[in-house]
Amino acid sequence: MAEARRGRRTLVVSTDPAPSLGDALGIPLGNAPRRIPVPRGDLRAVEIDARQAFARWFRTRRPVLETITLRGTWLDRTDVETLFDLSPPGLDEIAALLEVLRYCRAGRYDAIVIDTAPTGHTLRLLAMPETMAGIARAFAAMHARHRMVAEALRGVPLDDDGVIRELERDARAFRDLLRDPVRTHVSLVSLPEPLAVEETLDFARYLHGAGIPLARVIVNRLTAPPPDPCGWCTAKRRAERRAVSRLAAGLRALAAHSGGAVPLVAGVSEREREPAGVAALAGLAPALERALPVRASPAREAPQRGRTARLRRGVPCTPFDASLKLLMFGGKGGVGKTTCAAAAALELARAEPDRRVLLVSVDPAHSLSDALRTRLSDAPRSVPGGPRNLEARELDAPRAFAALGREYAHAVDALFDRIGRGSSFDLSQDRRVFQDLLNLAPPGLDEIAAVLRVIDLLGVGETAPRYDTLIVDTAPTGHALRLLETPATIQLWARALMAIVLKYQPVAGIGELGAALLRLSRSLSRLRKMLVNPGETHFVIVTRLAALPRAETRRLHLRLRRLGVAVPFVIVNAMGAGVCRRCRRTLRAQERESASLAVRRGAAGRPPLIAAPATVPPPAGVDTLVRWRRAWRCFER
Amino acid sequence: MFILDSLLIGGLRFVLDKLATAVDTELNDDSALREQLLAAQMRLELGDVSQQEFDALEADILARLKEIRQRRQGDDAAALSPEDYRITGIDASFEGDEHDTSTGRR
Repeated sequence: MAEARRGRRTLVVSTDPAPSLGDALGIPLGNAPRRIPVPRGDLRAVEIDARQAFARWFRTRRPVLETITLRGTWLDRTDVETLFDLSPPGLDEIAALLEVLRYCRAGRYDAIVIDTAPTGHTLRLLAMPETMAGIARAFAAMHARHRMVAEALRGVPLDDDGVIRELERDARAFRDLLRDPVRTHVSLVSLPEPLAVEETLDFARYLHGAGIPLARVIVNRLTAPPPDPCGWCTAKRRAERRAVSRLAAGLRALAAHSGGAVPLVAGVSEREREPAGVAALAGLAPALERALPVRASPAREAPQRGRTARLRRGVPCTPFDASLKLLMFGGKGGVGKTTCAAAAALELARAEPDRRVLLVSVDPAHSLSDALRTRLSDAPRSVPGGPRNLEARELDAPRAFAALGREYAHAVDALFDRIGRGSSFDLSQDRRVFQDLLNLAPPGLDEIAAVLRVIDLLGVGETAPRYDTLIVDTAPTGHALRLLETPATIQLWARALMAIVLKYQPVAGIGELGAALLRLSRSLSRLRKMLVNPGETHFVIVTRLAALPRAETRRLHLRLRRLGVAVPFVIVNAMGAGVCRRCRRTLRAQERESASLAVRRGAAGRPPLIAAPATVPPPAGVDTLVRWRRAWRCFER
Repeated sequence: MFILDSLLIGGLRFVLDKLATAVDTELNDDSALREQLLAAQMRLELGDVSQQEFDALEADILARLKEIRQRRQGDDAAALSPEDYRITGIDASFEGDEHDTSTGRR
């Protein structure tokens, strides 16, 4: 809106698969830019529909890519068409890149504002040019094979590698655009809370490493001074100041290290009503340009004693079912998924000392280490001070995928050895095509790696289970849903490839590759059954009582219901407040909201609510998490 | 495309070699039978054959495997049944609960 007011034709684009842009503007949006009625200027808004955007791009390129694949591999037309009919995993990031470039080139806009998916998958979007260049390389290798064959036959190779050059060009264009401080401004939006601050600093470090300039960090939902004396608000403000100081110090250190400029740190105060709609949003713009006063040295302050809001309604309860195999936590970014997942893991492991429990984060932007206050990695380890049957881990998807690639590379190599045996047939170019494909970290790699790891850890495949219960901290909404759709997507791929392997069996044999694909397909069948079995899998939605998270929760719940995944209850986090006039208004709003949600649940099939109290600072570390969990209150059925 | 390219590059010889080897292994080598069994399992997974057809195929292949083994080791070879047979080379196992057809395609 600020850009539009300056007289620039502005487009705001959401690339999040679970967009909230329409909710924020108070106008339903679709996948075509829609004019937003602003007092001054020209503003349009669009929420990208990845499937449609990709389909539009693919429609015109498909014939050429099919031809290249047809000539560059042994596959025949039926095979190629079968494979090209399947939807690629990780569509969201590909579509985002293509759509952003398309809008940039359209020439209709002077400014394009992009609202991305939460951290983890935006990191993947920023790395998408490398993935796209890899895809271009794989097609180039196929084309090279065709050229080789054509030249060997003294023919003229067909010159239709325009699409390959286009892929390379687009990858480069997006890469350069991101790194151009004149054309691109990157702003990170954070919260004045330790977990969010650490995630933001990790993001800033990534940007620094990738050579992408960071212009600004916006700290959202800062507590304004209370209207009358209030211990709660004062403690909250103090905790927030510490978090902001830590953020500013981290950004300064990074700038000093790189010799670059320190990004602007701006702040937005929490409103009693979440700003939604054009009029409310217009009031926010000035704050985004103003530097937030930051206290220099947070370290000297004495550590703060924790405070937990008291919840007046509801009863203490033990909501988690210890016999589950898979317990997932999901919701909008910043609602406290990780904290809830960690608290649940501690409780479940303690309640059932004979069950082996793994708490695993599959969000590429991990926060589990910070929530448990211990250093975690891809190697599972026990949690200091936690139950002995509990281990925790932060999944490293690229690593898992590289290992998987090596496994399949072996099977593919064996296949080539068998085909090539005793012939003068030169297969080196064919091998190259396959190696390029296997070395490619595909889009959607986080979801694929997570699915395969879950199969492995729970013994859904043919190996023995390593854990009895997995508690999964998922990426925010959009990608949690993608995760749940991934088993079906990769099973279609596995089956298509199996059919192709079978077809060429008389010449190439089946070998390891066929066996591996068969195993994968069977495991995926079992996993898919497990996901929709309410006795084995639960998905807990975490939310806050604010308009945008509430709208997202409703959509998430609907999608989960359609997928057949059980949602036993919804955790409403950060409930309760202090005693000042503003806090009392907040409390009344919470009462109203939770009462209305609780009343409606029965009729509309809504899951029951659990209230988790607000704490200052937010709970972290084993003991604090256990105490916090005991303060949760269930609403009676 | 595969066949065409093979003919063009490797010559007819290559394909004939392949066929000769295939026939040869079919008769003497149990690895070909193991592949057939794996292929049958894959077809079952893909829904190309029914459970009944698969059972018949499996029984036939196991009988032939048993025959080969007996030919090699004399008549004292242990009896084979689906429950104890495990394809070690390609690590495809079938131990009763694997015949899973309930999540068919599409």
